[in-house]
Amino acid sequence: MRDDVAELLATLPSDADEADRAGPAGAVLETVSMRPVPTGRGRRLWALGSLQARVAAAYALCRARELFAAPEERERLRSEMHLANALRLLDGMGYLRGALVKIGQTLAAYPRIAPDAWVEVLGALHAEAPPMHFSLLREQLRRDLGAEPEQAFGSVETRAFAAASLGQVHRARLRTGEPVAVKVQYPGIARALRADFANARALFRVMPILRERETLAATLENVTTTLLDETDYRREADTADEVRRLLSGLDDVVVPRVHRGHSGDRTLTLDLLEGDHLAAFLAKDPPQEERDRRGAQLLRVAARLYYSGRLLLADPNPGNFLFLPDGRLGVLDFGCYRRFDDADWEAVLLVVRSFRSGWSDFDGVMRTCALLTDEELRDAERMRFHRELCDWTVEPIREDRPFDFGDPDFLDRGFRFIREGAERRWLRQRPVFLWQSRSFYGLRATLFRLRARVNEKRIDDEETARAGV
Amino acid sequence: MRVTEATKERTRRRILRTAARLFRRRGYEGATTRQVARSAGVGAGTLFNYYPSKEALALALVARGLTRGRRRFREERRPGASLAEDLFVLALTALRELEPWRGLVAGTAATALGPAARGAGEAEGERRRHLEEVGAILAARGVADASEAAALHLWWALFLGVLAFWSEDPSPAQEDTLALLDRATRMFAAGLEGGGEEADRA
Repeated sequence: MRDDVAELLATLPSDADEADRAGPAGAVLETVSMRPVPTGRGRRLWALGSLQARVAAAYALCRARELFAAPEERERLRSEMHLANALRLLDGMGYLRGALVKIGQTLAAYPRIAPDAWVEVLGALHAEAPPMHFSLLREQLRRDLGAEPEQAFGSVETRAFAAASLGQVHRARLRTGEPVAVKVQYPGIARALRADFANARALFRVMPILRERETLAATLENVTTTLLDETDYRREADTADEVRRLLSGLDDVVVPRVHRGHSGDRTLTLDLLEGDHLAAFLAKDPPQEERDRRGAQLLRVAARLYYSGRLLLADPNPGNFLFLPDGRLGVLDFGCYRRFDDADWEAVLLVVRSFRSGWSDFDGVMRTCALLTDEELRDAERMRFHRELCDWTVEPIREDRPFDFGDPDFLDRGFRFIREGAERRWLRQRPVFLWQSRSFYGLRATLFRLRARVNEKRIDDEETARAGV
Repeated sequence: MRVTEATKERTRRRILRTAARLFRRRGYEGATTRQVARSAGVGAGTLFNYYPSKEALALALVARGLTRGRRRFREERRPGASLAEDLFVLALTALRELEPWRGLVAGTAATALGPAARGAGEAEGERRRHLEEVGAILAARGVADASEAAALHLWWALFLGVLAFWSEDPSPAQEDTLALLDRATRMFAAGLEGGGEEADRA
């Protein structure tokens, strides 16, 4: 080893020292939760820069040590390094909490895209904008709508009734008496998120030993775009209008109207819908027919948006739906949708055509959608995996009969594919398909909880025919 | 001729109104005391009797903003608000009234209002009245009795810090200041009460 390198390494802290200093994840969480949030960009950059330097230094040290280590020792070193860096990252993200934690949360949803230790620690984070008291909310409304809340609205409830992405939602009434939900964003958080993502890109560039670095980078870009979209309330208002238009033909589905005159950059006012979220709905132990009908509504909504609107419900978590007492399904939250561009839509059509003709040109599908190389296409084991995964995906639309989404074996098999694919690092795909997978698994997990039996083939056939797919 | 107190007060107000207009129109750097005196219809000597320097004029404007801010605070504070929320509104209403003088705050007010600048006439009076308001807010909640002097000192330093940040905040509509003020008041309240943030969690 060159003397200057040895000298440099000697100045770096050892793993053990660092791990001791970082402490267990819980202790770190406790520490960072008490730390003030730096608000100036300079301070944020400084904080992240120092974090980046520490992570980079740690990886450099790990690499240097690997040169002299036996193979099994190398694996251990890497694993320890991942954990230590997860803690460092958590520490840094906690300091910059407010927005950067979003990345952690999102990466945690993709097992093994980031190293396991990272996912475990990052999964413990909860991204929440700080709660706003009414005076801060009032100021945000005043700045955004150009009027006192009492002038803009008939009344606004002083306590929030729901948390929203990077803000909170209050019940209110328009001056006409109409009940509305007003979503208000925490001040400065959209810009903070943008700055953090820019900084995070730099952070991820210093991870030389990650084997899936390129996928991670592409994922980060995709995550960045989608989550930044979530902070853009005007865009969300446009999406809400589009979803409302696309679903207007479905009598048993309701999409709240946007009140443009009461919305702005940081405020979004929608019709107020009252009903049960999934947990409350299930707590009433609804009969099977009701569960089936609700399941069909969910699948119909997703299929209509997908085929007729090329719009992907990228975050189909149960909180985004409301079961209204009159039997209608309410669709809420329009911040996390992905739109297919022409190239991505062509990839979708390729899959549809291949499926309809008994998976013809499966290699072509895999090349386009899973980004497989010629060498990977020749890997029989890998191709078996992809084929079985695709078969599982289309299982509910193979036969013209109700499919039991409550069958635990069906869902388990799906998650087994995810686990196997993750372990063998076979889950690479076009970025938009990452969101599709999230959408897909999220929807099926909800249908499982509903224990719904739905003829999805009929819905799929009707919706593809309607859209001319 | 004997100048009555009422006349003095009218003159003082006229000078200040004129200074406000000229500072707004020409900027603090661009306006001179000579121009202020001429526009106000008084001699330069008379102006200096009331305000010994341009900085003193700026400071008087800032002090007036703070006074108005306190008045607005009493109108806008919400019954049943938490300590953090009350302090937030107190500072926010001050910022709103100081908006026309944002550029003046960093250079003049922060130093003249600083804890080290005692006895600076209007500034000192304004500091005292502001802290009396804060003292009343704290007393109403029964906090900071024994350590009130330290708490007030800390609050004043924090408030000046927010003012300094705000005076140079480049974010749109100074939204970073709003976030900073929110976090700062929560931290301060949590320090006095313990768990101030929880109190507002909806």
